[in-house]
This record gives sequence, structure tokens and C-alpha cells, in this order.
Amino acid sequence: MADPRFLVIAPDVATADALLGVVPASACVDVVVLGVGSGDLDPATCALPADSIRAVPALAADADADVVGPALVELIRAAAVTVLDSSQPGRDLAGWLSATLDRPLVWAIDAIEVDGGILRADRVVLGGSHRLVHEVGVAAGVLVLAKPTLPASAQDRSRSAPADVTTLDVTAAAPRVRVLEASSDAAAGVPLNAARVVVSVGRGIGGADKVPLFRELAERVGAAVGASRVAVDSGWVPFAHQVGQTGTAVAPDLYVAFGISGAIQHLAGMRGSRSIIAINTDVEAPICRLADIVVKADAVEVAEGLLKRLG
Amino acid sequence: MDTDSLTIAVAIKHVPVGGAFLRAQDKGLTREGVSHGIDPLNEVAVEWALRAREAGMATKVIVVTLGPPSAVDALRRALAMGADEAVLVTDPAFVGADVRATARALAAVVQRVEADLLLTGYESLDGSSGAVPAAAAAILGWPLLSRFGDGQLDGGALRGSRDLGAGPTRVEVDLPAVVSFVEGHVPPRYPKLKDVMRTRNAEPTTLTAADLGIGPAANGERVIDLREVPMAPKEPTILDLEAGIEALLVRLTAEANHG
Repeated sequence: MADPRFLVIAPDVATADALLGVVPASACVDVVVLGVGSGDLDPATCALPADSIRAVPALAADADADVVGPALVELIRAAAVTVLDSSQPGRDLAGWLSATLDRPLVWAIDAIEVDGGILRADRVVLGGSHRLVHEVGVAAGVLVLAKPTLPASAQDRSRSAPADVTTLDVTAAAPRVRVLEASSDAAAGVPLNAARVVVSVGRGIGGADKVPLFRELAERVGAAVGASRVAVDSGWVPFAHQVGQTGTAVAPDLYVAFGISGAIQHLAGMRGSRSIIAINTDVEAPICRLADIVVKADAVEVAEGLLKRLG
Repeated sequence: MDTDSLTIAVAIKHVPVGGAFLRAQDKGLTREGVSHGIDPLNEVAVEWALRAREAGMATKVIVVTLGPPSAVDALRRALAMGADEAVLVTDPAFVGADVRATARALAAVVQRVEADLLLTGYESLDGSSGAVPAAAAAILGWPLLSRFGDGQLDGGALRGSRDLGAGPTRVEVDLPAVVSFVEGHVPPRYPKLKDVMRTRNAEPTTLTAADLGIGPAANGERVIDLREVPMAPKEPTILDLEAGIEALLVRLTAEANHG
């Protein structure tokens, strides 16, 4: 039996790199990057460990599933395993494809193996204490929502030949959800999935009015801003900053958690961090059990103190 | 579409709640022996639907769930909040239903009750693939308004705010549509005791796989193993405000210079 072909669909090159980190190193893999033309890609992009990279300028990175799906459905039908990121546009596309192509879907996957027509996929469950292993036949096609922990560029995956980079022209249908007023708060600053340091905020910072303080701190030390689900759902911080099972999984060198108690859903997205410092008035909070250092103090006082010292 | 008689279906789920979670059992996960309740995220969608009805923008709110017979508790909670009708889809054929089977069941109920809107949470607390709303939308052929915060019905359209990542964006969609909600914008009401008492024995309309003409999905994934991850217990160093600021300064500036 021929080796199954993988297709990675990503909203940007950094995400493509992260998703490739989950794909078996020896697999044949094609990459689709949305929202850019091949001419806009950094030349270094062709070093990604893939056979081909197709840039699709006609499809916005966060376009709805009923726009992206029909435009790419034949490409996806031809792939044995399609790997998507776990952002909401990624999950929506996976759901649309699962129903439309009648293909099984596995999610929150951080490791894949293929052996004799069977795909084995793992995910972290029960707050990180266990790994759940799924099996599914690849012959009829499989969809994978990935939760990468280590990008391909951080693994030894160099290939002898550079990837073939082209632009893919597709016709995009008019979106049925019409944008009346775009957001003014684009996810500014260092992107989460590439950050060496993450400064993350939760309920304990007190409110939306305190967020600028932590953004300033992050900017001063070159960190990305992360947030708990509570901080995002309360509208304090855009969803792009959410760290956890639902948002982005991160594994930086240093994760600083300000006023985050550490719900299981949050811990699932940051427990791979090399070093964790939690600032919390409650040293019994679940996040403190993962931390190397716990600062027992008010999150805002600590941030203000740090900014004063940074001058 | 007749906007004078708008029906809203709300998909809800009976999930492990209150800090308890799924349990490890043999080589898989089980919900048995874990305390269950309505997914808090579903209460947000129910609340929004009830407000739409109270504002005269919708006539009927129907809650629907797919699950074991015990999932009726989640439906009764929604009825106590004020939902008009409840539908329970339950069948041994749906045990372990995947994204496809779940979405097909929800879509079939939506068609059966002739709803104009299907409301969901953006993911469930226990399953959390976050893919069911889009799968249901694909089956119905309806647009999906994803990660909706709050907004208003206006005739045959819904206008409001969603956040796909870059912050809140104002959008508009024509009905019929599927809408997945996030928390934090529409605080759900707490049912009154008299309504809890009134609905505590309420029986939903019960449907089987045969009633809906659907079955489990083909070529499904199966769980083959559950492995424990060894974790070394950590004893964190606990610092006060002053010492904490010093330690953070050292670490943050070291990483910054290194980067």
C-alpha cells in the first residue's frame, strides 16, 4: 500500500511549521497557506519540511468554513490525512469537512503515527495526567485537528530538496456571514505560537482596564500576551491570545501567569513550558502545582513594580 | 421564511460539571460516577433565545439534546429557565456518537421542528472538538456564525458581534443560520424554585435513531488506549511581593537578552 499523503492547511507560515511538527517525519506532505500569494512568502518558507507549498491568496486566513471548504474540497478529498490547526476557523473547517466528506475527525492531537493503513493519534486528557490514543483507518480519509507542541523547524527534519512553492488560484464564494465593522484591535505584538516568553493574564488581574499594564510589560521584555478563557470570554483580551485547550498551546522557555488560577482547560495549553512563574494571592491555586516559582502577591502590584524597575 | 413565527432550537448537553471531570477507566474515559449538569455554555444560548422570545422576535424556544436517558436533567433545567419544548434524542446506536453522528441528529431535529435558528455553544465542556456546529451547518446547508457574543434579530437577519481571534467584529447573517455562542456576554438567568418544581418531572419528546432515519457514522475512530503520563511532583519556591519582583526581573530580562 502506498504511503498515505498528508495535507496541512494553515492560516500562516508559523502555523504551518507548527502543524508539520505533528506530521510523521517521513510522510509525503503538501502544505496550503491561506491569505497569501507565493510572492509574499519569505524565501525561507521553502525550507519547511514539505513536498509542496501552495499559497492561496483568494482565501482569507479566517474565512468561514463554507467559503474555504468548497474551494479546497477536491484537494482535501485527494489527501489521506488532512491536518488543521485548532483555532476556531480551523475547527469550523474540520466540522464542515467531516460532515461534507463523511470523514472521521480526531482533535487536540499532538502526535501521529501511521502504520499499515491505520492512523494512531494521541491527545492529552484529564488535565495532563493521561494520554488518550485513537486508531482510525486512513483509506477513506481522516481529518486531524492538531495541538502542536514542537514546530517542525525545532526538530531535525531537514530535507534534501526545498519545497516547491506555487500560488493556487481558486474562486472564493461570497461569505454568507457579512462583516459590517472589522475589529480595530488586531492581535498586535509577538505571536503566541512563536514566543520564547509569554506573559499571560487571567481573572485575578481584576478587569479590562488593567490589561494595558500587562501589554506594556510584555512589550518591554519582548514577550507575547496570553490569556485565560475567562479573560477572553469577558472581552478583556481578543481570542487570538487565549492559551489552553481551546486556544493556542504554547511551550515557551518562560511562562508567567498573572492572576490565573489554572483551570484544566488552561493548563492543557501551557504545561509544556520549560519554566513557569505564577503570580497569585492563593498559593493553593491549581496552577501553583505546575509552577517553579509562585509569587504570593497581587498581580497588578507585581506588574506595576516590574514596570517601575524596568524604568 | 415567516418571521412572525420564528422558532429557535438550542442544542444543549448534559456534561460532567462542578470541577469533576471524566474518569479514567480501563483503557478509556468514562462519564459514569461523575456528577452531571447542563453545560454552562449552553445556558448562555438558552438565555439569549429566551430574551429574543421575550422581546417579541421569536415565538418558540425548543431545547434539544443527544444523550442517555439521564440527559433529561439538562433539558429540565432549560425548561425551568423558560424554554417552551424539549426534545431528547436517545438510542444505544448513538453511544459514543462522533462529530458526524451528533451533527446529523441535531440537523434532523432542527428540520423536524422547522426551526429557523440553531444555537449551540462553541464547544462542549467534555467533548470539546468544537466542530459540531460547523458540521450541523454543513448538513443543513446553513451559514455558521461562529463564536457569537451578543446581538439582535431584525426580521430575517441576525446582527451582532463575534471574535474569531483578532477581537470583536460586527457581522450580519440572514436566517436560517447556525450560531455558536461564547460565554461572558449574556449572563444566564437562574431558574426560580417554582419553575424548577414545575418542570422537575417534565417529559421531553423522545426520538430514536430510527425516528430520525440516521445511524452511527462509518469508519469512526476508536479509542484503543489510555496511558498515564508520569509527572514529577513540583515543590514551587514561594516568594513575597518584593522577592517576586526581583526574581521576575532576572528571568524576564535574561530571556529578553537571550532572545
